[in-house]
Amino acid sequence: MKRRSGSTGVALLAGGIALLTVYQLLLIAGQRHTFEVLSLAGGAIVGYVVLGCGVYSLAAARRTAAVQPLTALPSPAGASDGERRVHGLHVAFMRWLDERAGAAPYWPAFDQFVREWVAQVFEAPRVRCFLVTPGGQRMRPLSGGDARGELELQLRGTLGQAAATGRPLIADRPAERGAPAIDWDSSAWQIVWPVRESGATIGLLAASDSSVLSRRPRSEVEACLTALSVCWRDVACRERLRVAELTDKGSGVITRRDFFDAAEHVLDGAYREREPVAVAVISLEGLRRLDDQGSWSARDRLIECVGAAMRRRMRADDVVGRFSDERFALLLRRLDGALGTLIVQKIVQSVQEEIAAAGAPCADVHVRAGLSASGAGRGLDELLIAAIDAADRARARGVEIEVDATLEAGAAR
Amino acid sequence: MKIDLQGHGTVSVIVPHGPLTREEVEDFTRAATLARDEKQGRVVIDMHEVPFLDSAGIESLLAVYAESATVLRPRLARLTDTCRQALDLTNTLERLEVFETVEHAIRSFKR
Repeated sequence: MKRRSGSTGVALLAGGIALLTVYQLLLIAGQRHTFEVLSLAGGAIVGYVVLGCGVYSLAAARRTAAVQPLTALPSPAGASDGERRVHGLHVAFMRWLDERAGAAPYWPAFDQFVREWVAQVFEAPRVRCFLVTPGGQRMRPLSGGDARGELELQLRGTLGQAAATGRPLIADRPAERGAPAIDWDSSAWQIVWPVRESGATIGLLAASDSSVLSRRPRSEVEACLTALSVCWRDVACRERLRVAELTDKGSGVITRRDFFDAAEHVLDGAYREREPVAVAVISLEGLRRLDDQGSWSARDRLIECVGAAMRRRMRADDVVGRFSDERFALLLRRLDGALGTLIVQKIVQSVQEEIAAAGAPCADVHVRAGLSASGAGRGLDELLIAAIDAADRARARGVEIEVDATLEAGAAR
Repeated sequence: MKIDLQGHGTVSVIVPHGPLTREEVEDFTRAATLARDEKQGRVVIDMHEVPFLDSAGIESLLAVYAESATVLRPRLARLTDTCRQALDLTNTLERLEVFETVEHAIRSFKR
């Protein structure tokens, strides 16, 4: 309808300009062909054309201004309840995206968004959202850990089945009153909805105790949850992009600037809980020689493998970052000097294995580590400087690891 | 350090609250050793309220376990992830008797 009216408008405008032009030419034909007359006529015709274009542009601008943002549009008239709920979800999701500020991870806030929406639409007070790890064997809550303090859970039971098969569960009736508290693998869930992407399950939504599910057509429930899956996949893409922007491309760990931000945040949390931390610096000696020899791709592959090896050894709330061209920095939470040394020994061993696996050009690369431990209350800069000094001492003494325990001893005093 | 003591028949269950670190280890060692000696080794240490432990905490657990005067030795139950990692890292996990639940640990004394 809009295209037809637009074309009609253009046709009318062109026709009007043509008629005025013909009229002007007829006037000229009845007069002497002086230069002034011809100039006047030509100018009038150009004026008609410019006026016509201006009118058309003004009309087009008005049409554009009349297009409202989706968030302001009401539900289409005559829409069904399900269509209104899907429309409402999209509007709410776009508002949620607009209002999001900062570079914080998406998942905790999205978890809250989903819980509130499911509670509102399905009147289900129990809602849990999970991310399924690649491989589909384990899952973790979208926001934080579960009551047992575990971050990752083995997928089994009802949730495991939904994740593996991709088939949702939608049961009409809530669990019987007096049923035991729902555990994450319980069969008492009313809704278990797998979120799929590229043939794999990337997330799970579980809800229960809904009093309205039995009154809704199944097709409507599925339409709502399918729309939610679209939002979920959108958030997954945004989160991957956010992480990619923070990541050092060569090693796959975060950049130095982001390491400082993340480490300060973790350190604040650790000291609030009166937990010790250990800071380590891992140095790769001999990388420059690889550059000088022209073994650039071998060097780049080694950095990538070393970054991956470090990420495998890190726990969920440790922080590892690319500190400089040849150095990685690690912040290890809840560890004193002795336990921190054990972890760093294992990391050094893993890096040595990667160097050995890399073969000939990398054979002269050596790994050394310096570690400092906090006791409690020491700043990040102080810990890093102590760890760097310790790494330099390790190099001077020809040992793999050197520990600076002075800060920890000072704190103990 | 706050330490709860519960009786389950012939078995005592000790529940330390808070991190098992150099600063707190003395109270824990005293309480655990006392309970172990009173119950001839029938002690379960419920670790679910211990968020982490350092090397001094690990040494303390080993001392309470290894210095039992009887054949029966204390059990550990409900280790948090962080404690389990620390014990695993130091190769002490295999030297201790660890159970998923307090009930299983108590029942192990009846075999």
